[in-house]
Amino acid sequence: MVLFLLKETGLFQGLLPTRDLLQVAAPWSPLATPPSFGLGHAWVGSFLVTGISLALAVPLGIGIGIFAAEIAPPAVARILQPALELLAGIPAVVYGFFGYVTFVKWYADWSGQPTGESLLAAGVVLAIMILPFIASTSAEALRTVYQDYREAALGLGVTEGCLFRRIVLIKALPGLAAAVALGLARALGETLAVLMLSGNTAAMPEGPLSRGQPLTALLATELGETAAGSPKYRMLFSAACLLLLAVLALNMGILALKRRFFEHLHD
Amino acid sequence: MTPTANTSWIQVESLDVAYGNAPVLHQVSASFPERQVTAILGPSGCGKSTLLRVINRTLELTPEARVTGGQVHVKGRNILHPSEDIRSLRKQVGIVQQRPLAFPMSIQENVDFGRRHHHGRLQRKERDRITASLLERVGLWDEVKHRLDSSATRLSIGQLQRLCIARTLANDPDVILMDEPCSALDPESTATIETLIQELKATVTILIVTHNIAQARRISDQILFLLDGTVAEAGTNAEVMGAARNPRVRRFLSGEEG
Ligand SMILES: Nc1ncnc2c1ncn2[C@@H]1O[C@H](COP(=O)(O)OP(=O)(O)O)[C@@H](O)[C@H]1O
Ligand SMILES: [Mg+2]
Repeated sequence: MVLFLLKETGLFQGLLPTRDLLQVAAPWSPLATPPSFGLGHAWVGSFLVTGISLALAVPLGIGIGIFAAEIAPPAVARILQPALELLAGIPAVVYGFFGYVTFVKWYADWSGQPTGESLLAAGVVLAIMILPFIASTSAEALRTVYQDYREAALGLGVTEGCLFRRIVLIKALPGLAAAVALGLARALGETLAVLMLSGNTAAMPEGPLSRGQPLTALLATELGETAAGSPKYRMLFSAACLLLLAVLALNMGILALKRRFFEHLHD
Repeated sequence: MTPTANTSWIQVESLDVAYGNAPVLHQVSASFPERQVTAILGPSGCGKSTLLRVINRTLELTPEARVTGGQVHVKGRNILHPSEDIRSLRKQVGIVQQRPLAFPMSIQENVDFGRRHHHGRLQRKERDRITASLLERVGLWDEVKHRLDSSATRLSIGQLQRLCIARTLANDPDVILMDEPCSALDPESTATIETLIQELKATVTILIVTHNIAQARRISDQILFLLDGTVAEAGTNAEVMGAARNPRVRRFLSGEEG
């Protein structure tokens, strides 16, 4: 898959507009003469949206994980796990519509503008989308560690808090990091909800409340109307490659973290 | 209050325990005299570990485990009562679990884990002195004295077993429940632990689960023999070793059944 993508970038024929790829400050105006393919606004958009979603979903998700693994009574914990899986299975477009009738509408009402799409709205909805993944992954990591150490530590008469701080947190850290990386990878790659909520506007965002066009949204929007082999086409594929690499690196990181988590669990 | 017989430090009465719907201890009654060593014997799966875990209330950390009847008194305190202060009980009645487990911290910190929680942080010198003396007593000092600050997770299973004994001793308990504490030890280390047990007897009441009949003969004052979750035999070392009434117990003690 990587090779197919790389081929289309024109990298092998020396056709890649490397200069444009690096010109992050240049505008995205493929129709101008000469055309300009700056992707800076898209990277900034992706960065903002992903950052917002992680800032919200990581503390909340790990909190839910702790609750599900140790605090919740067994009956609640039994319901929580399938509930999270259910949430994780809802199609992105549904989340998109949900975001549209809530955050987007609220912001439009509040600001008096005709529509209220913003990077913030996309980030918030993205946070809701990745929350179940972060929560269930961290719950799993915490539960495993608790199973191993609960009796040994509490048998010495220490508090649950002491067990958590001095043992569980340390042992579960790679597992928690994997949960965060999983959330990050999903947030970075999510397209549909971001497309629907971010405003999909090819301009450098001024802040979280402005409209923007994260990378995935740009790719989804532009590819359909691009002639194969054109410089714009090459540019889009290059961006897709970079995105793929980023997500691939993240996934490898997740695997490494998980391996570390399970390897060191029992020694 | 139940009459707590003369020197009985721990009194177990008609104890019933089940995992889920499967009963594992049935009407177990036993008394463990103060500052004596009681060996708990019996074939695997007869409920020895379960009994120990009831006495310091770690059994309830297994969700499906339930005490379905009976009482346990430690020095006259009804320890199964809901208002019992579980943490202070677990400090007073220490346990050395069957599966030795290193915490993810240094050897030094492992030894100090419970002690620091109950008695507070110490000056470094004082703490080092206590750690050294504990590790000396369990016969681990010479092996680890140069790597006290390295991770305890790299210790061998036999070393871990001794580390866990030191960790429990550090809490300064009145009762120590030992669940097969020498199962991974060579004869030399086993002898060290047996000597330790004899020393501890001056101040501590000890219950020790062991599969080593010779060891029980050497170190115990009392013997409790369990079969299928019930008490098959109980008495002094001489009584049980010399004249067990139950034929299965006799076969077990003579080594014909293991
Ligand atoms: N968590 C558990 N769930 C279900 N059954 C258990 C559990 N722990 C122990 N048992 C069962 O209870 C019985 C007694 O176990 P245990 O007290 O560990 O025996 P022993 O220490 O004498 O070998 C065994 O049959 C064992 O299989
Ligand atoms: Mg056992």
